[in-house]
Amino acid sequence: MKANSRSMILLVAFFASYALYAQSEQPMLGQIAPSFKLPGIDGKMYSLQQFRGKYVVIHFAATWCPFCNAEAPYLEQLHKDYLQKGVQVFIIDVKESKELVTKLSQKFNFTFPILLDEDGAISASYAPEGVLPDLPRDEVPLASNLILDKEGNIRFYSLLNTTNFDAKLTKIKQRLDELLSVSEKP
Amino acid sequence: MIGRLLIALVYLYGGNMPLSVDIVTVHVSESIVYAGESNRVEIGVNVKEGYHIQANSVNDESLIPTSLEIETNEFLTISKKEFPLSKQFKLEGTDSFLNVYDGKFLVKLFLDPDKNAKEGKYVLAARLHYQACDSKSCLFPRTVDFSIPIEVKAKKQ
Repeated sequence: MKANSRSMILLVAFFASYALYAQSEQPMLGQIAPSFKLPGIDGKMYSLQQFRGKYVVIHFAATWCPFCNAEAPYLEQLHKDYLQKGVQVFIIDVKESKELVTKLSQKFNFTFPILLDEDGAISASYAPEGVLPDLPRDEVPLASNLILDKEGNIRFYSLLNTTNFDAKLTKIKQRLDELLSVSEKP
Repeated sequence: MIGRLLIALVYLYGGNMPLSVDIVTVHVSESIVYAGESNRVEIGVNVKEGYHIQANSVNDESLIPTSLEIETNEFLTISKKEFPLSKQFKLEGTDSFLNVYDGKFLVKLFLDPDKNAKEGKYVLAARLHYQACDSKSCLFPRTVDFSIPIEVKAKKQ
């Protein structure tokens, strides 16, 4: 009987710790962001390396993704508001053609780079291990937002299955402000 | 007490269960259709609880509508596909509404066997294309392959 109670407590503790972890922790924080070199819809090549020394905001998107499109105007506004503060915003579009992505980019008047991850390999490299194991890895980061610091470390990762949708990007702006205020201090 | 605690924890845990890729299942029974007439055939679609799929008629051209593709032949043609009325889904934190389907619904096909179609059993290959989301995330577009079994009989006298 005592052994049964002990097992039950252990089981409860396991479930509780897993649930709390899954709900509160952002994945991959503190890790160096996977590097990449991708073409933009503007015909230029972009590498993560070239943004070292700047804070970087990455949004993984697809043209058909309602969450991505809902936050698109707010992402453009974030780009305008933070450009002078040394923040580089870009979208990595996952597994779509340049023509399709260009058309949607024109609709939203994006003024920051839109990169094409046509085979999904870069998106897959940003899929946290063990998260959504049933899904193809390149689908996992869709609609997520990340902040990378000046050294390329992941400092914010809103993976949509674990956080509530934040179309107005309130939380990422809050985090950016925190990071910028720290880096501005002498 | 422990029982209640377990239920609460399983609920918490359940909110973070891995997503299954099989969000949509399709059910079709064999239909008897008559040569030279327009016959209604129903396709049953079931969307996994907690998810919705974009409707056949979307209110934003960038979205991927649910669509049904059927391989017909010269003796078995489809004159109309009738999708149900969609529901409205509000995207949290925005003023946007999406036209969606959730739960169980029927797609009605109007199947018109030619008057010279031979009596007998046929199987039509079909594909349902959809793009699913829940309230927090969206999945890439998927396709369900299925078969529509048909028995063609001579025109009713």
